[in-house]
Amino acid sequence: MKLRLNLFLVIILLLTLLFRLYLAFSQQYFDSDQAYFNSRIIEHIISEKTPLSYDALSYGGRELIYPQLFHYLLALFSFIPHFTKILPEIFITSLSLIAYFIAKKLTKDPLAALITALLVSFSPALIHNTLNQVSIYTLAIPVFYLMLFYLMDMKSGTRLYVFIALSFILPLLHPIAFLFAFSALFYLILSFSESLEVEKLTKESILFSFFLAFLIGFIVFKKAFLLYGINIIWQNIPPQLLAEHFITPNILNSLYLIGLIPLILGSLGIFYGYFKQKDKNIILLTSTILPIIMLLLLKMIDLSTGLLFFSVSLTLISSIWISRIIKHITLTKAHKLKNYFIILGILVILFIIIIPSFFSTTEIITPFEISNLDYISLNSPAGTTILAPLSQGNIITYFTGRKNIADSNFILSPNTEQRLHDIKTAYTTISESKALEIFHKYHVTYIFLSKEAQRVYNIRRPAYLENEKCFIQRKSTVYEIRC
Amino acid sequence: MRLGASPYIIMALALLLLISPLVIKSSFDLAGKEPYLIDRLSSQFLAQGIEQTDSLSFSGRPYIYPFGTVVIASLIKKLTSHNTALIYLPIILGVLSSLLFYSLIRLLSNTRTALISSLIFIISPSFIYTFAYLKEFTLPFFLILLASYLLLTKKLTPIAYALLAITPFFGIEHAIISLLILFVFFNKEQKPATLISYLLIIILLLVTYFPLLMSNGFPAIADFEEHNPAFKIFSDFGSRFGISLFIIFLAVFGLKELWKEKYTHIKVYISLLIILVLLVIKPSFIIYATLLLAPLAALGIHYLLNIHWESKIIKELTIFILILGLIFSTASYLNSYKTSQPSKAIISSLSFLEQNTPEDSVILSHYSYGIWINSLALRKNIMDEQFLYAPKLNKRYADAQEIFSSRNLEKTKALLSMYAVTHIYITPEMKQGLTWDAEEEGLLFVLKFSKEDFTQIYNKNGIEIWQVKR
Repeated sequence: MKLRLNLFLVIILLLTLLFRLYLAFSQQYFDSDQAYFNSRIIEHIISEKTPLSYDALSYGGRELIYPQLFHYLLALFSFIPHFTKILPEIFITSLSLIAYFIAKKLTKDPLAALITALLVSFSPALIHNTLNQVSIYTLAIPVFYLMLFYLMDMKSGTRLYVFIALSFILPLLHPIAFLFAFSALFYLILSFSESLEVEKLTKESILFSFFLAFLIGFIVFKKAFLLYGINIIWQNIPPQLLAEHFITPNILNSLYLIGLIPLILGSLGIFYGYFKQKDKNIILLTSTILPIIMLLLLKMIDLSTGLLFFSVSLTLISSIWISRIIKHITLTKAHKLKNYFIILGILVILFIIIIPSFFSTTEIITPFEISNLDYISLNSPAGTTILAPLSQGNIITYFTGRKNIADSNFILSPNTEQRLHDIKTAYTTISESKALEIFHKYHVTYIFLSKEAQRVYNIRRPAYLENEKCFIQRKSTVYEIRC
Repeated sequence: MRLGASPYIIMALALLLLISPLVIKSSFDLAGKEPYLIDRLSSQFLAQGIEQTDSLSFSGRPYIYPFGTVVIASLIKKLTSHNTALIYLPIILGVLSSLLFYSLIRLLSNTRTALISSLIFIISPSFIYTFAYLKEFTLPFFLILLASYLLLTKKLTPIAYALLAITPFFGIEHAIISLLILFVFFNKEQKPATLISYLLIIILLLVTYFPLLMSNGFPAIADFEEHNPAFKIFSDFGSRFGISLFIIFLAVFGLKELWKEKYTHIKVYISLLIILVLLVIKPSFIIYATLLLAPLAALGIHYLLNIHWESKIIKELTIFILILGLIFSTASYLNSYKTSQPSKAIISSLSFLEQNTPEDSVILSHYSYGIWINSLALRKNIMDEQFLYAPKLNKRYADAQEIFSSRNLEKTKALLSMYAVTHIYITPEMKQGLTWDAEEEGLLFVLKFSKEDFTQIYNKNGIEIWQVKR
């Protein structure tokens, strides 16, 4: 039986990996602008062996503060073909294994743990945020939940050393280390309020990781903290984008990203585990959810990140009710049909989760548009600036090796609000002189008129492009400025 | 390590830390706003004595500055030099304060705790802020510390009471702290002296501030200022006078250690509570909070070292991280002096303003430049950061905002004329979010396209000075 379950676990892991790799390789390019930013850092590390601290292409040249452990790690495996496509998918697949162990710890029911692992593997929020995106979350999320898993049963020896190592790794990967720190602290407070005794070693480990997250966070983001103070939470995102970034969750969209099954079973699991069982492990997982809800309501965390962690934690907690349902079936007359129910359940999961996942991928740039960008990289001198929408700022710097006016990395970016305003004006103005004034200001030589630009600025083609003496169409989407 | 050498280590480190801003800035230019304000007021005092009004701030306002610091600074300026009063004196007082603090804690506990407390105290950004350049808190803080030491040692107690009694001349905040000190060091043997001091402080407070209250009523609250004390008290979040978040972390453990003796230290808890309330009202109280938090943090280290840990490695790493956090905050704070304001560009532009404009000129700028306009250019401003009893504070702010944001020339001219503005002072920071976000926003548009009404008389390093034509 144990062997069969292990086999199923391996099948789930393989299925997850193959599913992700299939979708990743079915697209020639990555699915997010940020992926190209990460790719550029990785390529810089491979060639220079140093972290990228000054980005000469972003915003026409700017200082960059960004944890780059993830990029170093990928750079280390750069000998593997398509390493930026394969490795992040392997990293995130490991979350299914961690989910299995956490769920098994919660329920002591390997079957429920397997179903939970399957649910986590195909969580729409996870796929939406990590598939084919060279996303740091592909490593940060497994590390986050692995640390939680170790906290559930902290012991001296290897477990402790691994936890210590992970406590160093997480803040060097991503600022979600702060979320871990607060979640763990919240766990101590909740346990205290419920008069539950937390093991001394667990408390010590939480304190250690809490202080370490702050120290590394302050060191990595020192300049940003001094510049923005506590407003660093809003990452210097300009006001015109802030509302879009920190939106209040929309019920339907959130429901789709979290998934109906995890939402219902997870909520029931919290109720059962927290109020009835008084299970410390459930309290630990709940401690990751409550700060997220609080941060989302206070608009201190962006919706996609919030829902990502919310969804994974809720799915893990739903394992309690999955286990209860399985046990309930065993106790009823329908127990002979248990296996059919499980198969039916899995099919429902596949139908509800996996199928929408196929459609959750988005194409942010077409191969045709990228081939157009090749013209710029081949025909312009280094140091040229290209006008592109904010959402494609990193894409154009990656494919052309030329400067953008602005991109989505706002921390320490210069005059962000003005630049966004100028980009919008450049695409939407009917005044040629106004457009030229902006182009001269940023030394723009090429205009990239992509589908994304047409969609974002609701335009077909700026009127001033009619002046063919000033604006020469080099490719369908590329115009050279000659005035 | 020989603990006997502790006072020397503390003094040497304090000296080193207080000299660091000068070395980092590589100049004797003052940093921040308070030293410039004290510099101007003390020079004015030497020339004209105490006045009823300050003609430069807000283009004329009641004189509300605590004159204790102004008088002492002007006396030292007269006897020695400008630099001695504003740069060397605070360093000397800082070194002496570190010694006094060490001695105080040693009397209350032991040499080891005194050493650790003093180290935490002097590496805290609030200590460096208070004693690097002369500030409003420099002199009263030293005097209160000296009085506390004298009261504790029971030596020269009349002087101690006298020192506490004169604190109202340095500001209400310091008088409140003095009252708190009298409460902490109260003993029955000296009941009459303590009561007299209490009375003296209250009488002097009334004498100093009651006439101001009678003539001007209660001061207006600046409704445009974001009051977020929690983030003004931590240097790690960019506060210019705050403390390290890691001191708070350690102090929490210190309180736990102290709580072992339950209510024995009730006065400490009460003092801490009062100071925390005062901090919410005025975050610059943090230097006084540091007096309590530094020993608590030292106790915290003691607690962490002595409790039973399940894991030795976690223990060592946690304590190491906390200490590293303290050092990092200090290093990071000192490093910020590299880019401290006013920059050379601001100093030279304001010097231009002084030399090339009539003495009665009124300068419009963002209020954060007001003190420098008064002190470096010796010209009137529309408003500055000294909000207490500022005339029509919120109306002035609203009008200034209207001038900055309006593209309507007639409206702008009317408002400029209402405040008799003769010049407009614009910095790169103002164009990059402090006042405007876009290049042709509001007044910038008006200035660019109304050459008949405004003339640019200065444009260097991104700083612009415009003359308003009449």
